[in-house]
Amino acid sequence: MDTILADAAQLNDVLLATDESEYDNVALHVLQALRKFQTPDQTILLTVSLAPMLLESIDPVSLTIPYVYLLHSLLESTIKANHSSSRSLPQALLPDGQLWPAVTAGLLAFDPIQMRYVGPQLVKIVEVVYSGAEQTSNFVPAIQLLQNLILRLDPQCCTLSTTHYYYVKLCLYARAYTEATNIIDFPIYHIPTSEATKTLEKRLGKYLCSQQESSLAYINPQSGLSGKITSRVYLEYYLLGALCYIGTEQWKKAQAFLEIVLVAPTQQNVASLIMLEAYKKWLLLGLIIKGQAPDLPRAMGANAAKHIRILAKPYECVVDAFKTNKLEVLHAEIQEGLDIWQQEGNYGLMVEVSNAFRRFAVIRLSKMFAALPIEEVAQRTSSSQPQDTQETLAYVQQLISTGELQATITPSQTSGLGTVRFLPPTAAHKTEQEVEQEHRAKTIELKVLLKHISDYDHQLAANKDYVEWLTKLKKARDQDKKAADKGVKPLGGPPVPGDFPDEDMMDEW
Amino acid sequence: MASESNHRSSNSGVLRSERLSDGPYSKPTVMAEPEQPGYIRPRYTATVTDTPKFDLQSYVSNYKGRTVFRRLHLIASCSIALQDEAARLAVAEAKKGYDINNYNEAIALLSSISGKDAKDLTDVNWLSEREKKNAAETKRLENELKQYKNNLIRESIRMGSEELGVHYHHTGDPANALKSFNRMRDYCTTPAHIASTAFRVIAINIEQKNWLGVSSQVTKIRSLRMKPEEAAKNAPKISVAQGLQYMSLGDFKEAANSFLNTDFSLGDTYNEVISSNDVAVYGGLCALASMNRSELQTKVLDNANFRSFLELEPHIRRAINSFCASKYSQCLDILESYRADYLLDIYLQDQLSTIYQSIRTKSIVHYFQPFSRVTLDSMEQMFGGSGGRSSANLSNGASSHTPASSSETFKNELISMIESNALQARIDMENNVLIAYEESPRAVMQQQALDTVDSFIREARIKLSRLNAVNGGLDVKPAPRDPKGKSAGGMDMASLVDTGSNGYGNFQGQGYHLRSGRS
Repeated sequence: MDTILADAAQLNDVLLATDESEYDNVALHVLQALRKFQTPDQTILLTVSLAPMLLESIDPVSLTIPYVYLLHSLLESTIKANHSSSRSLPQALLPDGQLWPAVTAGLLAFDPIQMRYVGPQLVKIVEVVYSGAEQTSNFVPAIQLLQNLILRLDPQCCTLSTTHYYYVKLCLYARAYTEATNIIDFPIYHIPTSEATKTLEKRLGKYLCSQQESSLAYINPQSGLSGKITSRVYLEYYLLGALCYIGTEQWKKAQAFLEIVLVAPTQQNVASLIMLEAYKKWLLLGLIIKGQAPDLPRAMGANAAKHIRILAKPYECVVDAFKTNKLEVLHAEIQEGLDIWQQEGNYGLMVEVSNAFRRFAVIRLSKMFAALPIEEVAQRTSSSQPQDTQETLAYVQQLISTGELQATITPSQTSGLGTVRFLPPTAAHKTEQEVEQEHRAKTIELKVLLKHISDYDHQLAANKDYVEWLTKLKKARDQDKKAADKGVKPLGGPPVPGDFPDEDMMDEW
Repeated sequence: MASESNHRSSNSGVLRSERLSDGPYSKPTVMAEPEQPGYIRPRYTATVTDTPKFDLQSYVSNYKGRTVFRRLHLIASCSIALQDEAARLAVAEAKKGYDINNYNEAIALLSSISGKDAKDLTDVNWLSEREKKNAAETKRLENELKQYKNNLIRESIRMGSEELGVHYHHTGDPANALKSFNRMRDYCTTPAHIASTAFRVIAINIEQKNWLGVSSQVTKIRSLRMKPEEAAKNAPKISVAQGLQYMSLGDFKEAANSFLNTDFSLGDTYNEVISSNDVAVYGGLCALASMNRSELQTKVLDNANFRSFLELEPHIRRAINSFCASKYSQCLDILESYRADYLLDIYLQDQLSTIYQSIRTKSIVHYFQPFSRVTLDSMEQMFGGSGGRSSANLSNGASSHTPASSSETFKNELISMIESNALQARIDMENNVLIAYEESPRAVMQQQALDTVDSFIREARIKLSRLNAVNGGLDVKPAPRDPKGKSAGGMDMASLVDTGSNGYGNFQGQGYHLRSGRS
């Protein structure tokens, strides 16, 4: 054991910087040794009381590989020893349990490079942490651990992993939406499925420990740093993420997430119920953001859309009611479907829709009037009978204070509560500096995005289907050429791709 | 049959006279139901109490053919002042023709107006004689046609069909007339023949207000290659027919262009459908409703050809002139004074309120253009009063419209204009001022640029994500079939079950409560 630890101790930054192959060798060697070591000595590890002491003697930062490996074996054996209650985890593994400090230590402080070598073990530990939190409803420590883990492993956080999925789920359980946004704010650019990484293999860096441009190089099925990503995990991650955004009232981001779910690829004539859920919320978000139903994303499968729209009929009725610009109609429609919203958990959103209706009614007034007495505002926007002008005044004041409405309230010349004076549209504009600043921020954002797009181009260029398509295209063109040589007009062959990676992207759509 | 129809129309007559008390212009009056399949009885949309400016006799003398009766019928049905005279003329006109349905209609109308029993008014002898004659004539023509067909002489068959079609048309059987004309087309040999067939069909379609049919025939004639002199003869008729079609379908811009391009040589050559005076009125009104000031100047007033038309209806020219000279109230007043006349026009009746409303809207927009702010009072002086009243009445129809104060109506009109984006302005209700809506183009542009970037980033992310999913083989797959054999219409049953147990709903519900707790 000591020799292994000694070997493992060689794995430090200096070695990594000087000789990657040597680092890789040592790491693999350590792993192998650990595997051998485990078999005869299983009995030692089985004794739960002893193992923590052993783990305590190992520093998780410099000796991440052995630490995680041992921790994993420990967890496994603890679970095995406790197999009587198969479903729930043994007490020792739960937060505040006997082994919990060891788990915490391992996930809080570790060497991210070494961690790449113990992927399968890590995934197992994450699962234990997740189920433990779920079992005890003590989410906070688990959330903190997983967030730390995700960010340390992949600082750009652009590869989806099952850890992400567990994390978002835990955040939702704990209603820790702000924590969730810390992770889901990072755009996902890679999905580590075996299909996706197949083409990537040859372009990956030589060693797991190499400095990589994208985290997909080490978070993939080969390294085992993520569990198996299925279409359900993918869809759920985005749906749950959207729920977190809804929880923090970041409507636009939520809508974008839901749209990802909507345009998810489907096989013919199939739609997932997750997509249906997403569609319902997506419709309502459209009303909240823009006051109108959003256009169906073009990339959405026509068949899936058809199924979904039939099932989401009550929601489309609300959209229609919203469009009538009549408060009574909207309220009647919302009232009508009260049971549905409550059952499907969209009641909160419906309340938001109702609020949004009023907001848009006031904003519409600002386009028609330069000044309007409060009484009139109440008459034109409020539903309560008789109009509660005091309440309307407060509402308008609130809109002004949140910046939704550019207006001032001046005391009325005649009797009454006052006059809302909507400012001219020019007042709402940003200063030149602000605009410039925003431009700069967007440029940076765009550059990152474009880099990922061009990366993806490369990846697609190596795609088997695409290469086949290219050869087919070439053949067709040759034939056309021959035909042209013979003086026959070429029949409308496939279009000639000028900018071929782009062409393929378009083809997908 | 005659008595039955009389009975029915007299009923509707009572209905109408009750409605007359509603107001100056009241809404639909239901006429006798169609008695004969294939013939669409006109339904009139207005009742006019004001006395029109024209003289009925001379107005009617502008036209010939079946349109005379239809026009008289319309005036008798809609105008209070002229109903008596018009009904009498209609009876006389119907008696001159061949159509016994027309005659019955006219008698029904007269009896409802005069209060006399329809039986006393009907000339039974004429009726039965006419009926016999018509039947005999039909038979004669059909036999002739049969003969021609046996002889296989194309030209004769064509002429026979045409005669038969004309006869059907005159006796009020448009369905059979159309059939005959369609048959006739098969035997046409020259473009001129085809054109004449098409004109016959157009006449029927216009009478029935089947505008789709008109447009298809118009394109047919347009595509013919005719001798120049024939083409010149047909051109004005075609543009008029097309103009009528566009106008009736509410496309005033196109209608104006068609009428403005009508050559003055039209004269009275087409007065079984339209007179030159009508062209002037329709063209002028459509142009006023759809063109801006410079277009009006160049395309209408400076148009030498159309000027000759305008000579016939000088008040239309005056209206356009005053619009161009920014004397909007004058223009509207002129038009208003002719409202009764135009409401009694067979083609204008349905569209008049729309046309007047758009002229009014345009006037207000043009009036406001040079100002950055105008007091509502001064605008009301300009546009309030008659225009506001009638437009409100016309759009609301016969609904019991409580006359709000005119300033309120005017404000509401402005609001609806702003809402429909016709007027770029905002109303200051405190100071009663209309303020022009000003945008800084630079700021708008900047905002647009930022929005574009945002939407691009958003789209790109979504699409990349989809690409990733496609590439990763993450297609949503159909669930393995339920042993019971239910598949829920292709839905993913597995996810159905899972969704239930995961309860996303609960998440959202909790989320909401949490937030409301916070705020």
